[in-house]
Amino acid sequence: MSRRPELPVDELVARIADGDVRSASRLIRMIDDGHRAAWHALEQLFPLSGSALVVGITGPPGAGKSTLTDRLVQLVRQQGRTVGVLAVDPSSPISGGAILGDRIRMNRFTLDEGVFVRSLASRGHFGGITPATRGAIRVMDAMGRDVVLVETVGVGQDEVDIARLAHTTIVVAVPGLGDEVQAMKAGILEVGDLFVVNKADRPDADKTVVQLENIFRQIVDGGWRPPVLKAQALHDVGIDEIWHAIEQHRDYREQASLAYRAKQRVNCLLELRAFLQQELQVELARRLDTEPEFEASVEAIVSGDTDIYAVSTRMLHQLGLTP
Amino acid sequence: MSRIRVLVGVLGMDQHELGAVGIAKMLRDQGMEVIYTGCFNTPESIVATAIEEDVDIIGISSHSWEYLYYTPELLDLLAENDLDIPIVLGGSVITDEDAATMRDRGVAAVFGSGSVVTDMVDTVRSLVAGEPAS
Repeated sequence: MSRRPELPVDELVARIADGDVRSASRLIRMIDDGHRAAWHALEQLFPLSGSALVVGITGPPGAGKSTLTDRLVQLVRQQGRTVGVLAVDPSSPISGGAILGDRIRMNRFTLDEGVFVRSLASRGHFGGITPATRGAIRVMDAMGRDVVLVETVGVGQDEVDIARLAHTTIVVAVPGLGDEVQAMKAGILEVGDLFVVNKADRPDADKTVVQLENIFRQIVDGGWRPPVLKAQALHDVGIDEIWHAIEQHRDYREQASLAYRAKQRVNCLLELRAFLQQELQVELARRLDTEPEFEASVEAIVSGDTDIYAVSTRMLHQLGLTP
Repeated sequence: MSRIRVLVGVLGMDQHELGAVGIAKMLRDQGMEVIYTGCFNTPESIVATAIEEDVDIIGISSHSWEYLYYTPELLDLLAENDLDIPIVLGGSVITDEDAATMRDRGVAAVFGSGSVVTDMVDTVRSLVAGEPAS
């Protein structure tokens, strides 16, 4: 916002390298608000990053993602390591505003300097995370956080962007949603590295575990077969086992099998395309807004003199996007 | 695109959360991002959260006397941390006299019962823009 003086980007980078939360927080804001200057900072932070373990936590609304995140924070802190948390909540599609309340579940760590929690609003982005998430992960990584946990918005079936950013993606499911596996079809089942059936004190927990295990049974040797674990995050049950599975997955990644490298390449391609697409969209929207015909043609469309197709054909030509 | 980020919470042992929830929804509907911290905050937890979330303004909801004690502490702590973030105080129990005391102490704006939504929203926007409370 205009009220506060901005630090030069180089100064921000130097402070972030020293682990300064305030500067990191400010840079994340710049990334979130789409300041191009933030890219320069992120480029400079690139050599400092790469050592954090990035874990994504996704799943349907109400599955217990925030509570599980809180328990993982606790475990990482008990190991004596530092942690960054990115908690994504949805923006209102109507007003664009958002209520970000995930950090309430982690409020016991508010005064712990080893825990840095940042809430992000989805800002109209579909996919479970936000365009700023990648940059925010790098900031937390470069400032020296050992582990970065990313909690997505409550997702349905194909909001799987987190899998492109996280080393390990945990999908949190709960028993008793009817046909649980049906409720988490294609997308989300394909990207999970680890499945947690939370609230496992409920009836049908074992049934959900078996349903999930049956799906992964077909994975051939050499590939990663996602473990399916029961947990009761609220009661601190099963958390050590989840961490153990995250470590096993890390060992698997470090062996860098052909299958894993191929997956990484696909992720990278998808991510680069998505990133450029988003920036192109912003740039084109800006050019559209300065095109006089854009506003003018609205009246003509409303009054029925022309239609959207005719106007779009002409404008795409004017913007040099069609011959 | 930039959006106003507001921290909304209740201080101390005050358990009256409904006002804070109402304000959070009101600000969300005006396109702002509200970092909602619920009840049982301390001045220390508010300041730590304000830093981590890079908020532009802090809204404190109060329905008990405790704000008289904690708000000055919060103002001091913000100053100690060199944070120039306006504080807006709201709540049914704030008398005119106490409101004046709070403003003198450095609170940017105070809203008692009967406050109008547009006034509160305009004030938040003005303060974030660096203008005096409208």
